[in-house]
Amino acid sequence: MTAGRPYCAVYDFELMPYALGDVLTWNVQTAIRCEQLGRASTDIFICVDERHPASLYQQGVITPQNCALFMDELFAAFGTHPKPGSILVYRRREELLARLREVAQGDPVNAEVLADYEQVLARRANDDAVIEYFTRSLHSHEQINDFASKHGNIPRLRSCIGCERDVAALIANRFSDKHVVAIHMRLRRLDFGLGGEGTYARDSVFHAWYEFLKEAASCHPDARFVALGRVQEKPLELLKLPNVTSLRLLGLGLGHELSLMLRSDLFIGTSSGFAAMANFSAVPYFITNVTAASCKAYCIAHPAERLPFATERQRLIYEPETRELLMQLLERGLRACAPGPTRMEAAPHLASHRL
Amino acid sequence: MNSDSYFAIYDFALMPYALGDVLTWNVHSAIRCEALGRKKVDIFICLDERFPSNLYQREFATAENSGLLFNELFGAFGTQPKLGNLFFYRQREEMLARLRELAGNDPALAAPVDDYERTVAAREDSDALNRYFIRNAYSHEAINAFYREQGRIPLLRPSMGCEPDVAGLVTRRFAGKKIVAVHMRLRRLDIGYGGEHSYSRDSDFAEWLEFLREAARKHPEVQFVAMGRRQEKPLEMLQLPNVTCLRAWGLGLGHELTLLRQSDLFIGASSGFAAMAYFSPAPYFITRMTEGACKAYDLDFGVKRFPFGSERQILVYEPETKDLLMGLLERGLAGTPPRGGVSGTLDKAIDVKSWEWERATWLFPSATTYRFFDNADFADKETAFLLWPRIKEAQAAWREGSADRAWAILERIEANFPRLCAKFPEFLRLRLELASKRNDLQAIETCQAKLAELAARERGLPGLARAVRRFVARGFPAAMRFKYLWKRKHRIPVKLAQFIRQVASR
Repeated sequence: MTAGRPYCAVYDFELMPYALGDVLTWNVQTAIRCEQLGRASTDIFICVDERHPASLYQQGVITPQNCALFMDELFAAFGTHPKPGSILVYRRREELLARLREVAQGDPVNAEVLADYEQVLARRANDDAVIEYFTRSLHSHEQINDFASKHGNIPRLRSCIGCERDVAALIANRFSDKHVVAIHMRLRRLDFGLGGEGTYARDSVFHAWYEFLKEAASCHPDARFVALGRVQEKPLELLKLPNVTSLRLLGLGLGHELSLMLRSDLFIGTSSGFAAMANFSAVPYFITNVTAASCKAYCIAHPAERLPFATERQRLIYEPETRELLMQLLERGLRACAPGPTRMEAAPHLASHRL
Repeated sequence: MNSDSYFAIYDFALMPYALGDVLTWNVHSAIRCEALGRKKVDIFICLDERFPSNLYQREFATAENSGLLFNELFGAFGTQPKLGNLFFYRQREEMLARLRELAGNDPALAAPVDDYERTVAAREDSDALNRYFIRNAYSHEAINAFYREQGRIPLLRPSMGCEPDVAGLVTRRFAGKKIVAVHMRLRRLDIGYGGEHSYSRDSDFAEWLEFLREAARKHPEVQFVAMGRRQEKPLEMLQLPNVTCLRAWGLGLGHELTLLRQSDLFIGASSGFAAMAYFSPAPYFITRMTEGACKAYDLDFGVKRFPFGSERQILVYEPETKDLLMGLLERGLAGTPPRGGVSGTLDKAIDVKSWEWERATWLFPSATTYRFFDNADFADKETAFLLWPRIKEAQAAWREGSADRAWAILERIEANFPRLCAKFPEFLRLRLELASKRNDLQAIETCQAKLAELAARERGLPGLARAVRRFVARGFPAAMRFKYLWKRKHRIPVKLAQFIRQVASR
């Protein structure tokens, strides 16, 4: 009777961070629950209530004045959900709760979601309770790894809603004779205003990346690097390199970047937001700057070479980023690619031709 | 949903993916909300891939791109004068079921749901679709009627969450300027985005470019901000020094709409952004007014103002020429003083230790970015900041007696960033020390000359004041770190207990 109903998943920004990697991981976690519970799609309930704008981790940075913008910047990430249903954005928590209570009536699956959510809300003054909820429902890969070991696979993130065609055209036209290498050099210290001061230690080594990309321009003219992430995180010097492109400067957005990753020949990037997109996709990757803390979240031994659900060409890297290391990774990654990039024809119905 | 909510339906199978239409619909639905005595508008958006396009965009909007087209408009829904919740449905029957349920409990809301259902049922009937669109978005008839009755209309608000960033831009980056938002409609440049039938509404690029060039000479106090997708902006225009495009700084439609509302003047063609202007208090000249536009606005052709327009909100029918645009600019800005705020010039000196403080002075409270620069001075300052750990590595190597390693690090940096290195004091000082040790006379001479040049720029009282300020500011990162830890002081006992447990378990 209830099997046709969607599974309801709640992302309340007072309990969970405004963070790309967390939203993407949550997408997979909730898709798994949806599948386990025999539901066909997931309705995403987002709570962005100005009276409770930020989680434990982002208080002070996220305020009633800017919380909606933070949400807007992440909106496309919800669009990569493996089993997307409706997306309902509530600006008043009590209205979300009222709706969830209605949905949960006579539906034990969603009644459990509601009970869990209500329980943590009641204890939200207790940091440990919030951390436990965050870890259990999002941060830890435990459930994902269990699902993989049982089923041999996990629900993979999909191309962001609506972005597929623009990306196909970009690859078919502008990058037609290139190997597309998506990169994410984490430089949160540059993106002052977005918070994350406590995580600057996870940043990439700018000089190593810059030298690597400059050298790659002469050694591997067939590789085109697409720098992912906010323009505000990109050093201006990096964007001047002839073999580096930022989709944002072409008028495209996060959804395009996430979709492009799925079509890339290789991803190289720091263990951070975009790495989660790689983790939960089939794209070959090297994720750098992996630490003991990352391994703890991934529920793997330190230093395991792969995630339990990863393919042979999806590797975790623990050595410090240097020009030489990055070049080795590039060469290793490209060696496994087909000799010449094979690209599909330009797609019609593009939202942009100016790529 | 509470009984203080009105619900408004935007189904992309019935209504266009178009900025002006979404903005006008926002005002229509706010008026209906007020008329019913409700406090806020809950927005129901239907984006069903099985019905991706409306009557007007069938050739262009498809199942594959409809999600993106919606996403590009998201910031526009955020300007709703009475914004409540936002519901985004991908299956129409689910939205309908929910709407019926709500209307069942609230008879006052049954009429819009019935109207919607009737139109959906008649979706092969283009007259019915046209009527629905005209009534709910296109025509100003209901808006004008509301104004006649109330003497006001609900105005669009700044897009959700964008105000702090825009406040930073206006009071810091554009301090001392007069801000003029412009929209030169050039849909023909943005092929892929549809609207081929509306190319005749496009602006005249050559006239605009000449106008903007001349304005740079005649009115250097004016900062033009070009609204709209980058794909619609001629690259020649974006290179003009007095023209800025917010999208190049990583900002979006919501920021543009918010900035337009706060501008000293808007000049633009009768198109999407014009709707933000005429439903706001911003002074404006809306150009390229046509009979078609007047019909939609429910105005007599040739009328100079909307019924709800102020003295400084004018409609213009003459063709866009350089002279006309210059005349409008001068008339629009007459008597407008330049913006106040903390004057926005970048200190050209590189002082890596005070950079975190310096950039913090550009960040408005609650803003998400301060980075409104793309010139060489800014690039050098941020690159120096990023390279600082490498310089420190070289300094440590030199202290430990590895002069060759220190020299090699500096060589690599200079090979990549020669312009920066010529004005990076810490780099030059270390290089001078190493060159002395190596007895490299040419390098010694070059470093000394460059350091002397930098010192000369800091002479006199202003230079001394700057140096003192920067010196004090070096404590900023430590102060920030302390603030961060202080906010989390209640976690210290837990962290300590975790640490002790870890040690004990080893």
